[in-house]
Amino acid sequence: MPDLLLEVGTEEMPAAAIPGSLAQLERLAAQKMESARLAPRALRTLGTPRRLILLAFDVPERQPTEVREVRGPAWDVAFSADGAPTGAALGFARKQGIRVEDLRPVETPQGRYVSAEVRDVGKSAAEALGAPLADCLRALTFPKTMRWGDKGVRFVRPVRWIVCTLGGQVVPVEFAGVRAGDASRGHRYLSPESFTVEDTPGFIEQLRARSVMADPAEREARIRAQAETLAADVGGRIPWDEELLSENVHLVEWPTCLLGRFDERYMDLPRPVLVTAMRKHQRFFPVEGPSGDLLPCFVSVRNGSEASIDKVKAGNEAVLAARFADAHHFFEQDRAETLDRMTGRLERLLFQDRLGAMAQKRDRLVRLAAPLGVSHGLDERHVRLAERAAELCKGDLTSQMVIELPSLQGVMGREYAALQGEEPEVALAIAEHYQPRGAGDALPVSPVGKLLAVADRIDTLVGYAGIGIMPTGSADPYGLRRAAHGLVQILALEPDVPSLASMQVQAAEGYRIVNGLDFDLDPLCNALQGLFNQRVAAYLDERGVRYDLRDAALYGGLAYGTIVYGVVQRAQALSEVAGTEQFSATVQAAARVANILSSREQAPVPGKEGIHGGRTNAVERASAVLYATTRDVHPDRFAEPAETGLYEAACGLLPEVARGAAVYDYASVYAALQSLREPVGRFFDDVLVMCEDAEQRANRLALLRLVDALYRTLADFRKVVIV
Amino acid sequence: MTLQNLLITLERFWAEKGCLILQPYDVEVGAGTNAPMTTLRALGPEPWNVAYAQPSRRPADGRYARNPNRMQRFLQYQVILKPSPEEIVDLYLASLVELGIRPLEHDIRFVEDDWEAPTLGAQGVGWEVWLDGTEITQFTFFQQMGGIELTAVSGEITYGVERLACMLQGVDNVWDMEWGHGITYGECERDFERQHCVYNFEEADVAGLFDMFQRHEAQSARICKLGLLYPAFDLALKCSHLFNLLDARGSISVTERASYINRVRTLSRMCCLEYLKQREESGFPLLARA
Repeated sequence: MPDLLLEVGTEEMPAAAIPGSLAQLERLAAQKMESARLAPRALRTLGTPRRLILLAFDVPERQPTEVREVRGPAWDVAFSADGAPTGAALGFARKQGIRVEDLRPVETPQGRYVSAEVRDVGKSAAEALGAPLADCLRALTFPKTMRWGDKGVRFVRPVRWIVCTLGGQVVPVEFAGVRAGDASRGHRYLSPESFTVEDTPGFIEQLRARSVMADPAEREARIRAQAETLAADVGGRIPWDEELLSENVHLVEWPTCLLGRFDERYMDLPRPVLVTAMRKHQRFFPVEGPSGDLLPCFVSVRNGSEASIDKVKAGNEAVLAARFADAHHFFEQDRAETLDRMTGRLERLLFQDRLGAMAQKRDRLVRLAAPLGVSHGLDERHVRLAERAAELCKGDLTSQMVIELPSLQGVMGREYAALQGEEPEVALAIAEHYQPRGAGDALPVSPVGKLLAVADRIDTLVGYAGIGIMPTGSADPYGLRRAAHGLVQILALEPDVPSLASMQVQAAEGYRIVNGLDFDLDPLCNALQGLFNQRVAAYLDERGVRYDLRDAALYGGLAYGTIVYGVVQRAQALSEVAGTEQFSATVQAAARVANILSSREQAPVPGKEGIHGGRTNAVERASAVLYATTRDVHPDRFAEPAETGLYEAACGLLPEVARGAAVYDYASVYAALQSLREPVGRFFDDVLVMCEDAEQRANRLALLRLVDALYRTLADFRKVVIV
Repeated sequence: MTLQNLLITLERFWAEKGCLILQPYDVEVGAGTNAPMTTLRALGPEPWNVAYAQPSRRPADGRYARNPNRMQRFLQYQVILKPSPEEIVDLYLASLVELGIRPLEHDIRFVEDDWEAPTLGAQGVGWEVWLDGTEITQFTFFQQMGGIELTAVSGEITYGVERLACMLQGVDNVWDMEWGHGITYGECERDFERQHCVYNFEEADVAGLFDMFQRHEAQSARICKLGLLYPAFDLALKCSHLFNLLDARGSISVTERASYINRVRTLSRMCCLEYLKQREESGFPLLARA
C-alpha cells in the first residue's frame, strides 16, 4: 500500500508554536483519514521552523466499497396498481444510479416504501484525500494567527508551498490559496532551490541532503551532544534549560553549535543578570564550571553549517558584550542610589489603571503584612521583617536594570536590599515573593517570603475581582489564573493559615483605606471562589486525585471559604480509603442523609472566620461549629429508639470529628464516621422522616442536619462515584 | 560601507523592485510607521509600494550621546509592500546581499515578534531579524491600523540603519561610525543629540507643552470634521511627540498615562476613518493602476 506525504512550507513559524501544531496535525490527520475510510497503518509528524510534515504509511489505495440502503418514495406513489413504475420510481432510480427493476419494497411503521441498495464503489485514495487533508490544515489552531497579501486566509505565518503526494502521485490539496505539488525546498540559505520529491520514505533523506534535519528529536540530540562537547573542552558543563533547548531546536533547520567567550570583568555582575542576557535575549546556553559557578563562555546554535562560523561567533560575542556593557552600566547606576530611593519612585509606576500606582500597592502590602503575618503564625520579629519587605519589594521595578530586563524583578531587589544593609530575611523575601513565576518554578521557602508571596497575589486578585476583571476561557491578559494557581500551590503546604475568604476581606479593606475603593464583597468573593475552586481542582488533578474524590473534598469541609491545605488533606484521606467496601457503604449512608435534605435544609455554613482563623483554639472552634447544629435537635421529642440511637452516636463521635477536622487528621474523622453507618441504616428502616406531625418532622430533619454536618466535615459524599 | 552608501544602496535596490522612493516626513515621528505614507496608506485596498528613510524621535531614549548605541533621534529605513508579495522575505534577503551581507557567511534568523502601536491603534505580526544575534530589522505584516482590520495586508520592513552601518563597518560605537567621506556620525550628530537630551530631560517647558497638546488636539479634531484629514493627522502626530516629551520630562503621572495615549489614538483613528472614507469616495484610484 502506498505512503502519503504532506508538507506545508511556510515563512519562519514561532518556535513555541511548532511542537503543538505537529501534535495537532497528527491527531487531526488520524481522525480525518479514518472518517474518509482511508486510515493508514501508521502516522508520523516532523517539522522545522519552515515546514510541518505529515507522513502516513500504508494508506489503502481506494476507499472500500460501501453498500447502503436508500429509502425512496412510498410504494403506492412509485408504482401504479398494475405494478408499472410511475415518474417517481423512475426519477428515484435514476438519481441513485440503479435500474428501476432493482427497486425493492421495504415495510416501515409508516407503511410500504421503495428502497434502493446503493453500492458506493469508493474513490481512489489520491482523489478522496484532497479535501480531508485541506480540512486538517484549516483545523490547526495556533496561539496567534495572521493574514498576509490580500487573500484573506489565516495561518500562523505565510504559506509558501505545499507538497502532497501518495505513492508518487500528487494529491490535489488546496490551502491558503496554494495548490499542492511535488516540489519542496531545502535550507533557506544552504539549499534554496526547489526540488522534486521522490517518494515518501526517501523524502527525509532528500531533505537531509539539502541541509534540513526534519526530525526535531534529531536536532535536539545534535544540539545536546555538540554543546556538551564544546563545554567539556573548556572544563565545563551546560546547565540545561529545557524550554530554551526546545526553542533552539525550533529556530533552526540544521543546528551547529559554537562556543563563544566574554570578558571576565563582567563576571562581577549578579549571576541572574548574566544568565538572563544569555538565555532570554540571545538564546545562548550559559556554561558552568565544576564548582557550579559560571564560566565566561556560552554556547550558541547556528542555523547552518561550520562554514564561516567564526564570523557568526564574533557577531555573537559582540552582541553579548554590548548587552553586558549595558547591564554593567545599569548596575553601577542602580548601586549609586538605594532601594529606598527606588521605592520612592513607585508613585510614577502604574499597577492598574483603576487600581492606582505601584506605590499604593506597596502601601496595601505593608498594611496587609501584620494581620496576615499574625494569622500565619509569624512572631513579632518576623512580622516586622515582613512589613519592611513589603515596603521594599516593588522598589526594584524603578531600577535601571529591571526597566531594561523586567524578568529580573525581585532578583535585583534582593541584591539592592543586601547592598543597603537590610536583614537577610528581607532581601530573600523580596526575591521570593514573585515565586512561583509559572508552572514548574520553585515555591518560596522562607516564612517572610511565603507571606509576601501570598499577600501580593491576594491583593492583585482582590483588586481585579473588585473592578470586575476575571480570566475568561483561555484569555487571561493579567495573569490572574497564574497568580491564583501560585497562591494555591503555596497554601497547599500551609496548615496554619486563615481561609481564602478571610484573606480576601482583609485585602479589600486595604483598597478601601489606601485607594478609597469600596468593593462590593459578595460578587467579589463569589468570583474569586470560582477561580480558586478551579485552581484547587487543577492542583489536585496534577497530583492524580480521582475527579470525583477531588470534588467531594473540595465541596466538603467545615470552613467558610477554602483552606487549601484542608482540601488537599481531605482528598488524600479519601484517596486512601476509596475502593474499599467500607467506603462504598459510607458513601451510601452519607448520600442518603444528604439527599433527603434539600440544600436549604442543610446545616448553615459557619461564620467568616471558619474554624481556622489561626492556630489558636481550632479544636474549640470546630466543636462550636458542630455543636451549633445540635441545638435544633430535641431528644425529648424522639418517638423511636432508632432516633435516639442515631442522636447518641452522632453526639458521641462529635468531639473526635471536631478534633480531627481542626488538626487535619481526616483519617481519624473517617474512622469516627464509621460508627454512624449502622444507626443511619436503622434510622431509615424504622423512622418515617416526612411524617404528618410537623414538630416531629422538623426534629427529625434537624437530627439529619447534624449527621450531614458530620459527614460533610470530611466530604460532600454525593460527589463520589461508586463503581 | 558608509552610512550614506547604505542608504543609497537600499534606495536603488527598492527602486528597482518597483517601489516609489519617498522623502522623509517633515513632522516628528517615533518611527517610520507613524508617517502618513505608512499609517494612512496601509488602509483600504489600494496597492502601495514605497521606501523612505525616516528620522525617528524617541525623547526618553536619549542618553546625552554617551551610550554607544542609543539615542533620542535615529534613522529607520522603511519599506512598505502592499499587498505583501509572496516573495517578500526573499526580496528582503536579496537587499541584505546588496549591502554585502551574504547569508552563508552569517546566521540570519527570523525570531517571532509581534508589534503594537497603542497611539495608532495598530497591530502586526512578524519577526525581529537577527544577524549573528543582533537585531537589524523589524519585519511586520500589519493586521490592524487605527483600530480597523486590514484586508490588504502591508508587509513592512524597517531596517535599523545605524546598527547595520556599525556592523558593516565593524565598529561598536555609533558615534565612531562613518557617515561618508571620512566624517563620522558623531561629528554630524553628537551636539544635536546632546542639546536635545538637555532640552528633553531638563529644559522643556512643561506647562507650555501641556498647553500645546491641548490646542493641537482640539484643532485636529475640529479640522478632521471639515475633511482636512492630512493636517489633522499632522496635529495628531504632534500630540504624540508632545506626549513623548512630557513623558521624558517625567510629567505624566501613571494614572494619566493611559488617558493621554487614548486621546492620541482617538485622533489617529478619526483621521484613519476619514482617509478611508475619502479614498472610497474617489473610488480608490490606485486600484486601477495595480
